[in-house]
Amino acid sequence: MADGDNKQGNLSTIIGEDVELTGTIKCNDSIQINGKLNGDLNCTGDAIIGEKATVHGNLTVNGVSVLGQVSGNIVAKDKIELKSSARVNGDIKAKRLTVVDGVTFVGKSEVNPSGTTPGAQAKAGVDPKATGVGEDADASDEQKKGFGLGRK
Amino acid sequence: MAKNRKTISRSGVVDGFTALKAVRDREARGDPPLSRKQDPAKKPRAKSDGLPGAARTALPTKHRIRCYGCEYDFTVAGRVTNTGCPKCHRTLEAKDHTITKEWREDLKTIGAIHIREGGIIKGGDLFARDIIVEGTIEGGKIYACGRLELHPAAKLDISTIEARDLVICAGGRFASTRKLTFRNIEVGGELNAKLQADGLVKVLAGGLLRGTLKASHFEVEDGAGLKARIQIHGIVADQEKEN
Repeated sequence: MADGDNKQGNLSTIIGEDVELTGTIKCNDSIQINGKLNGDLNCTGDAIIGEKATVHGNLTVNGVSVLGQVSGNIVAKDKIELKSSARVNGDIKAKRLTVVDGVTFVGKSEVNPSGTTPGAQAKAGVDPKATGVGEDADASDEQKKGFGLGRK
Repeated sequence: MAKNRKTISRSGVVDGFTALKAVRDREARGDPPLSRKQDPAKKPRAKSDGLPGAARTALPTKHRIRCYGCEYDFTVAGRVTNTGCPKCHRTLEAKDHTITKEWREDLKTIGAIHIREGGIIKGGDLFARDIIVEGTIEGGKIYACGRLELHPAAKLDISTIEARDLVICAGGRFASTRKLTFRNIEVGGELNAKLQADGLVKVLAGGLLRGTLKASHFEVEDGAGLKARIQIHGIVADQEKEN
């Protein structure tokens, strides 16, 4: 029986706790992983990484709910949920992100709830250089003007 | 035996001898001992029942205070009033202050300082438990031993402020070039900085956190933005501290 938070009414694929897979998984529907995956997951649906699951690879999904351990990057078209038992070591990128207290997370994150591109942000007056992803967050004078200092 | 039972139930008064005899008789019969647990049929009175008595004991709120003379930290329960430092015995005032104009003097209190829109701090040391900033800070030293709350209209260099907890209200946009350390951080607006937190960092819906973050606990609400390099060690860090 599958463990973890089974939010999907009908999971097309469930990988049990005692299963260890090596390789790439591609699926067009939802999937729940409760075992061990040494490889990438490419899923156009939603994925659930169970509490006892371990994934060593990248996840490319529509949405994912992580309760277990992931060592790799997570790219989601829609939403990433990190539950309290989640341990993620890698970068995450999504439109929406929810993190619950108790998570262990080391990596870069890029979550843009508005879904705007950097070009659109510049038009809106947001300095596209004001990014801390992989860089030191040194605020330049131009940045400070937009951040409450020097404003008239 | 039965007669004694009827006598006890009718009169409602049980003396020690009768109680002891009843226990011995029960043991002699081989009946199981009465549990000391509360009768499940008897539930504690709740306030909603309309009966007198408190259902729960209300505990007073505890406030962490720092003496602005010797910087000694201590805790005060209940309402914060004028008190004395347990270490240096200095009298600490608990008055709340509101600044609406230009200010250049020192101001120290274990209450709150509210810098309203129009208030400009041009110098002096401001020391308080809670500092709420809606105005401008151009100089001086600001220290909040409790919470520092920055509103959208606030204008300041956040690098020059020290506080235990930081709250960025919705609509506020702030940046810092210096590494900032707080206990708890709540981001409702936009914050671009190198952050380190011992407690909980929370990014609310509509908020945006950029830069780098190192914390023990982290929460992100649906609708929040996050563009940062993050290290959250969660329960592992707490366990290591305990060990």
